[in-house]
Amino acid sequence: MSVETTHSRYSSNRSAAATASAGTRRVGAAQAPDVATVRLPQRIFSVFLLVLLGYVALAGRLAYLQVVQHAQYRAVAEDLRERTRLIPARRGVLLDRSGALLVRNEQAASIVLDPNQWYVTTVKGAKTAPLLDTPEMRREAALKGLAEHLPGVDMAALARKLGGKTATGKLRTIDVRRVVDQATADRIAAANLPGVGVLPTTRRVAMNGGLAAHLIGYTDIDGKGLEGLERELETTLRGKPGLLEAEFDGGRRPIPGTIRREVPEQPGRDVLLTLDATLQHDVQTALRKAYVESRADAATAIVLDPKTGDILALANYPTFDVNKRNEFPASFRANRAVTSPYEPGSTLKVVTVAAALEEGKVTPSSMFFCGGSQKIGRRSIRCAHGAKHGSENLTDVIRDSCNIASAGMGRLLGKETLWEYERRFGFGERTECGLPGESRGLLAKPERWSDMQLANVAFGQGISVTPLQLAAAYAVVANDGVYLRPRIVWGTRNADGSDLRPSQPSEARRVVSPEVARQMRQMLQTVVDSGTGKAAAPDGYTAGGKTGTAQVAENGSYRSGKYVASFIGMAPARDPRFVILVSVTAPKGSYYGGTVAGPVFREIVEKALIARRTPHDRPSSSGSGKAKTRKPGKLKPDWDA
Amino acid sequence: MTRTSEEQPLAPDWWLFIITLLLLGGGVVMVFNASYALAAEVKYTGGDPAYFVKRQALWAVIGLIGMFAAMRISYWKLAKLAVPLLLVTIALLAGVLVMGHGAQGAQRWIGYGPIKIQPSEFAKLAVVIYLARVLSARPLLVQNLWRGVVPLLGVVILFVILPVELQPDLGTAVTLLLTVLLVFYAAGAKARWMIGFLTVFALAGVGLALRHGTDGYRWKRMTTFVNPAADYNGAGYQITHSRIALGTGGLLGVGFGQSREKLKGNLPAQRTDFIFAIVGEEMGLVGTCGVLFMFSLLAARGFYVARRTRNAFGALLATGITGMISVQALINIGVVTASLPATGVPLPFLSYGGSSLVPTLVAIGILLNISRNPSYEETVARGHRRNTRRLLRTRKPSRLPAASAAYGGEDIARSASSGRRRDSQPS
Ligand SMILES: [Zn+2]
Repeated sequence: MSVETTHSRYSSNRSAAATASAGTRRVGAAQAPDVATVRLPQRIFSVFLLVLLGYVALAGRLAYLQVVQHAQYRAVAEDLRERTRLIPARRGVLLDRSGALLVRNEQAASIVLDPNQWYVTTVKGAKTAPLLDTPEMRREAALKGLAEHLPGVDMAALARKLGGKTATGKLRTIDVRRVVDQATADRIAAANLPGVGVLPTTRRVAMNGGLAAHLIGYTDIDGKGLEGLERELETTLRGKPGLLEAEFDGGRRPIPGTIRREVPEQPGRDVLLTLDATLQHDVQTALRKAYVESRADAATAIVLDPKTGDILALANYPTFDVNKRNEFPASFRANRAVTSPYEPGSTLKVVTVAAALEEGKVTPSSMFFCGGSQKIGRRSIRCAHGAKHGSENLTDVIRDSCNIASAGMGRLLGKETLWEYERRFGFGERTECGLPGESRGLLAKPERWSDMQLANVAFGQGISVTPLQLAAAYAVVANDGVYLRPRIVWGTRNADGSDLRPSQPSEARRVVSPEVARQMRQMLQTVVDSGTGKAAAPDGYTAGGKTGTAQVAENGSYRSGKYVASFIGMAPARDPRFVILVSVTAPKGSYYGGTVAGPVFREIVEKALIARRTPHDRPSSSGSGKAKTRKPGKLKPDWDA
Repeated sequence: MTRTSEEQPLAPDWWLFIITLLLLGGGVVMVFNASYALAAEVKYTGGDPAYFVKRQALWAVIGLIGMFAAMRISYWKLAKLAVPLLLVTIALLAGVLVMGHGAQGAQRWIGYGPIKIQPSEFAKLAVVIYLARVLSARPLLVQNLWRGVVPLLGVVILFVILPVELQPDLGTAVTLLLTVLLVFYAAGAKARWMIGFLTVFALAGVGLALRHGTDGYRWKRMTTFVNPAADYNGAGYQITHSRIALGTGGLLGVGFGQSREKLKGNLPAQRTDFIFAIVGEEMGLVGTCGVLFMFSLLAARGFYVARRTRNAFGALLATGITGMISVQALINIGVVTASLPATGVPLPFLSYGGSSLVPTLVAIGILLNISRNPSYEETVARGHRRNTRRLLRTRKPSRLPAASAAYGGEDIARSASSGRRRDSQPS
């Protein structure tokens, strides 16, 4: 037995043999197999070679993937994960002259949808809604949830955008809504919608959306200024976004050690405006009342500090709410105070008179004669309402707004000189106050003036000016004859309040002598005390000003019925702290500047003077019961000669 | 050669042992490397970066205990256990199928609480033991296609491979099928039959995949390795990221520990089925070919042990075990390199998971035991000696002494006294 098995290269297991059935043995016997071919060691070697062949083939495949295609896959990988991320810089805020916040950045969120997340099998332990087993169900749930929480979103458009793919086949993440408020964002985050991401961002919010809306303007959804100071101050406010060049992991965080370049962001600088928020509010209240009561087409008010050119308040009606700007017609957003020139009419006579005084063509005691009308060439000019002013001095010309006498002074000055003075008072050029969309107005070259136009310009026609230009021109009178460009930016500072940089004061330009300016103020006071501007007289203060009732030129002709009623004045009359312009376009009912715009001036100037703690320079009605029935014209002006 | 080895088996094959330890150690390191970033981030680990590696190390220890135990248990005892083992496996697989189909769809576990086993992993071993036993006991069976190979293959497919496939665990089913075919071939079945079977199964697979048309999940899964971008969020996701990982690795890799794809949100199976891609990303072609080389060495040594074993059961068992591990590695790397359709097979020794690691180490233990007894031979029943002799007629008598000499002179002495040996076999 043992001898036999000695020859056996292989032995069978005995127990296996015992269980082998007879049938199988028969098979073996019947088949009479070609046992000579059965060579176990060789077969095992063949199997080994087969396996080895597999490994060699895989090695070849790996060489192809890792060496031949290396560059290609590295590019794909960099495409997938290496990116430059911009770190948004904080946008500077707008503050009023005393540091009160006008516009701020509010914490908000943007909602994005990453459809790839629908296909990610949930990791063990991270329990989400149990009924969302398939991508289709997750898609359904996400879209339904978004429609529920964001009623305004166009779900059909969203669904169309969902199919986009990148080169690797990855589905594109889409913006559902760029900015939502924090409360909505919190609700969406709490809903845990599949694939829906809530990313922090900020949105621009005005503290009081209706306050100084035309000045502040607004930004687009990305925080880029579109209108108003937001647009004009873009470079200052914007700051510089930071840069992060790195690889980002699945959670969109930079992978440590992969950061190639990191440039910290530079926050934008805050801007302090010359605006006085309280005064602005008062101006808007007063102006709105007039705008509504007179059912006017439009109304504008400007308050300037004549000593600095600071725009303390500036309002237009109709206006809008910065925070809900889409609810208002686009025309409401026009800042008429700087964009809409109009024919100023009588208010411009101040320039003519001041020029004539400065040039020595007239003196305060010069006498004029008005016959009601005067022929110039083949046409004639006349005083308003068919008035004949007869014999009058310079003060009377201003107080009664005599066209004939003004035209006479214009003739005395000549085209060149009058044009020169118009320019020196700031007309025909932008004020460069820092507000966008400013108009130059319309001031033709004197060479092209006819004699008729010379006369017209002298009493405020044939020239168009913006309300701000006009206010700045009156500020010359208030500022002892020196022109200052109006300005809206008081200064800038860093986000933390450091590095306060006041804006450059504009160069002063002498237009008329202090004496002429004083004489002008004196004349303007008589308008308020006893002329057309009585309704503008503030309680307890002296004031000077000029009314204007100009016809609106439409398509080159003066259509009857549409007037711009305006009043431009200053107070206190002797040493004005405020220059205030009020103009009301196309009021229904009374259209005289004195009656429509005068009371608005009065309301504004009283509040402004009291707020500045200005001492009264004449009896106040609150000081004596008698003064309530005072007649301003009867009071003697208190000029020290 | 004076040693009477029937009392004293040889030392286990040191090469095999060292290769196994190297692969195992490298695997544990790689599991940590590939998983710590993820483990630190996901919730269920409690933020412990070592969450996965701790478990893997525990499994490695359990596996090593299993390996040493298997190394010391004489492998021929397994022959007697072959049928009961297979029956238990079939019962467990049936149990998984019956209990499994709840809400989840795929159910591979059976057990209660923390004690869970994955019968499909043990099924591989049970089938290899069973085939080795049957084919060594009746060597003529594989000579006959319709009355030998087909019925045997049919039994294995019907009772083991099909239930595994239905779990569904396509990867294990394919591994099993290929291993079975390799064992059949090694036992003497004609190569063209095996190729025929492969073709039939491949066609059947394609046919099944196409059951729901080209839009069906299975078909997509099967074809996506050609163009993963077409189904990025579905079957193509892993493949896309796996290719990116391998491709960015280049020749030398991005550096150990520097993988990007292992981070959360990229390659999800970075510590399990696709750990090889991380090897490729971090260590490049050098690393991947190193792993291939280690598996080639393992195969070379395993098949060498099989070849020199003078016992048909031992030889076929060694072939089956080595073949099983090799097939698994080939399929895994084939899938990771987008050379094969995605199937879901772990890479032996390297992939995270005890259900794969422990049975693999036990199998290596059996292989080591076979290597200790290369010329063990039982007292053969007379009726079977004939078969055995037929089998051995392949050896030309003139070559026999030389071959014996090559295996060592003690073989003859051992064989001569093998009758006694059954009782005195140390364990
Ligand atoms: Zn007159």
